[in-house]
Amino acid sequence: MQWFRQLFTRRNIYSDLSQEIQQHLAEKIEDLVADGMPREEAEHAARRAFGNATRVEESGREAWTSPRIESIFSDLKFAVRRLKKSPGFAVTAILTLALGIGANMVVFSVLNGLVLRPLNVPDPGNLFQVVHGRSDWPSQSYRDYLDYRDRDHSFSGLLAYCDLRAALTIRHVAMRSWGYAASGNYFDVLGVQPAIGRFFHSTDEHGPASAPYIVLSYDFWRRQFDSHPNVLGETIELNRHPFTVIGVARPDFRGTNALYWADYWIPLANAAEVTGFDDLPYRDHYPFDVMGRLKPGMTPQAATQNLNAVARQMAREDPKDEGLTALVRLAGPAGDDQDPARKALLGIMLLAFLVLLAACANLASIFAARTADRSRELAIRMAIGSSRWLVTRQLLTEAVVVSSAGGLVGSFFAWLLLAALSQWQPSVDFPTHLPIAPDARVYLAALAASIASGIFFGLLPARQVWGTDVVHVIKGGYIQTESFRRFAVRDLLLMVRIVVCTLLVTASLVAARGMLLSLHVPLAFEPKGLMLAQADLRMARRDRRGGFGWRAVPGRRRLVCVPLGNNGVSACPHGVGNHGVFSLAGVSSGCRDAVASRPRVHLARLWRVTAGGHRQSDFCP
Amino acid sequence: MPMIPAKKTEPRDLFRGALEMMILQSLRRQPMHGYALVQHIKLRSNDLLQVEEGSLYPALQRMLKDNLVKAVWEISASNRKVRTYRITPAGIKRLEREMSSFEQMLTGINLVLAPTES
Repeated sequence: MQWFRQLFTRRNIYSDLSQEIQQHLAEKIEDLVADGMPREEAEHAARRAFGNATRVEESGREAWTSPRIESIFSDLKFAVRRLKKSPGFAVTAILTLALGIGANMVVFSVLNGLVLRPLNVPDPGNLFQVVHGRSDWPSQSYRDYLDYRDRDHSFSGLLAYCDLRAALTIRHVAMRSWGYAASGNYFDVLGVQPAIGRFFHSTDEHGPASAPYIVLSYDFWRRQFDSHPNVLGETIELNRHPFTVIGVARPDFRGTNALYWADYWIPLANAAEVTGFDDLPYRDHYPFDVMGRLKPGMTPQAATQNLNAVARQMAREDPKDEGLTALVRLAGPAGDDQDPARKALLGIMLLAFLVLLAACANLASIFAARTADRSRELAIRMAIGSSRWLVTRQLLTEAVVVSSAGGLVGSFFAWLLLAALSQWQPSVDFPTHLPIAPDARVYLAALAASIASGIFFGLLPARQVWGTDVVHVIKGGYIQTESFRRFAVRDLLLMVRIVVCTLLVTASLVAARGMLLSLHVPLAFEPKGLMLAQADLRMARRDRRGGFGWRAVPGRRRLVCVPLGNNGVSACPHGVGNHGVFSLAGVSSGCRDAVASRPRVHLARLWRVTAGGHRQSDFCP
Repeated sequence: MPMIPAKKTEPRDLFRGALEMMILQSLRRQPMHGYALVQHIKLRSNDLLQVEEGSLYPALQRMLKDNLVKAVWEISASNRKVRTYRITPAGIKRLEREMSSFEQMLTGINLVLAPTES
């Protein structure tokens, strides 16, 4: 790195050297004058003795320069100068590449954030998830988890957790919230540390409802408590059950799901009182994700075999576990090979790569044409001693400068787009976060793509120079390869462009048509001009199976209910501008079937049937 | 190295590293600036060796870059602003290594040049 520092201090070094030489000469002259020599003669004598001061200074400067780096810099300067001379070409080339590299960066950043990036826990490479062997289905039952944990010895720790949705009340203000109900060893197995307070542990659990503790996420703490440390010991209600805040997680720990950032964690032992349903006693109820740390020396394959041995044993003991198999894979999206999002993203990545390829093929042709225009200049440079390699390097540098500028512009726009996308909430029902903001890996990939593109489309003109007959060009010819070769390369490029562009246009049309079709898919009701509202009555500690009537406020009669939701949560679209206040519960399956059997039932009709309340039984017996 | 024995008309290189070695040895005795170095070498060699003044500064720059010497601007005894060079620990180490190999070379040359015993 010394040469890099010297780049910035070199001006001082040179100035010191110059001053020093002048001082030397002045001192010598003084000495000669003191010895009796006339000043003018002394000046000549001193300069004669010293030699060529300019040459000496240059020679001194050479000690600080690296010829190779200097020549690369001069190539860069020359390339920039040339591009300045043809701004139209430069802007077109840079924008073309910006499009290609920017598209690749966006898709790669999404791929990186959703698929490649490991979970944000210590040593993510040794955090594995236990999924079902045959289907790759991740969820497990609690009883199976206990058996895996207690009977198998491949893991140094095995944790279980499930998502939790509840009404959270802080100082009498209720809000919807999403968290995790986690086994007592959750934080210990992950090896994370709290920002303040403490986490809960296995030792805190002593049977059902024995650990009414809650750990808040850093973000939730910041939002709801203004990062106040007095939060420790405060009581928070989840579905009206009190929990004591014992700690706050660090800002970088947001749970064990890449897309879902928890607001809080409570012990599994206390989950039943919040949800009103005990998930723990069942062997055929699968709400839990199971993760663990493998013991040193244990491979995922060996752990899979061990767990399958346990699974067979479990199947013998309980028929509900018949056919149960286990697979140990890396936790998080990185380990999920069957993830449809991964396949879709890889497909889109391929398309983005094709866009870049088309851009490169296009620029290769333009650069080749420019090189032909510079035939005489390049030939003269070679004739007066410049090697073919130096000329080639100059052309490649020019291409890489264009591609780097394109990469920079593309990265900037990609960054803008990604920043907006990462704020996007795809679902209002679920606190999804898209961690797709570009990181160092994405920027490195963009840099690599920029340089590789430059080299790729700079190779064609470089190849032309390599095969140039200098004498022929100076006599008035052009740099060009033999006709059959030119035919091969240029035609190949043209073919590549046509094929790639056809493919891209077809893919775009198919995608656009798919999107249009999905916008007009029959929904059993007319969605135009409607808004959607939801209510979850479980949050008010109402039994989701009980069923509730709904009522329309007098004068706000255009209020209808359709069974859009799941898990007992129903949705109620109501007319825009009609200010419907609604009170709604789970719609019975009979009603759902009735509506589903009448495709594109107009909401007005539904309303006529249901809004009065008296005839509700016609549709929802 | 462009060290020339005095009173010779053709400059002759002594050997690689000779100037560097003499600069380092001079600076080891006491820090000094470029012009003083030239005078010092001339004086110590009884005018037998004369440093080509122009070659001194590129050599000093190389040694600065290799961290064998350090330079600071100071006011000399004659009230002149001069750039004084000091030898660094790395410079001392290099000097000792060079001197040891120089002595070995000199021994070898002496042995070769010694009159053959008859």
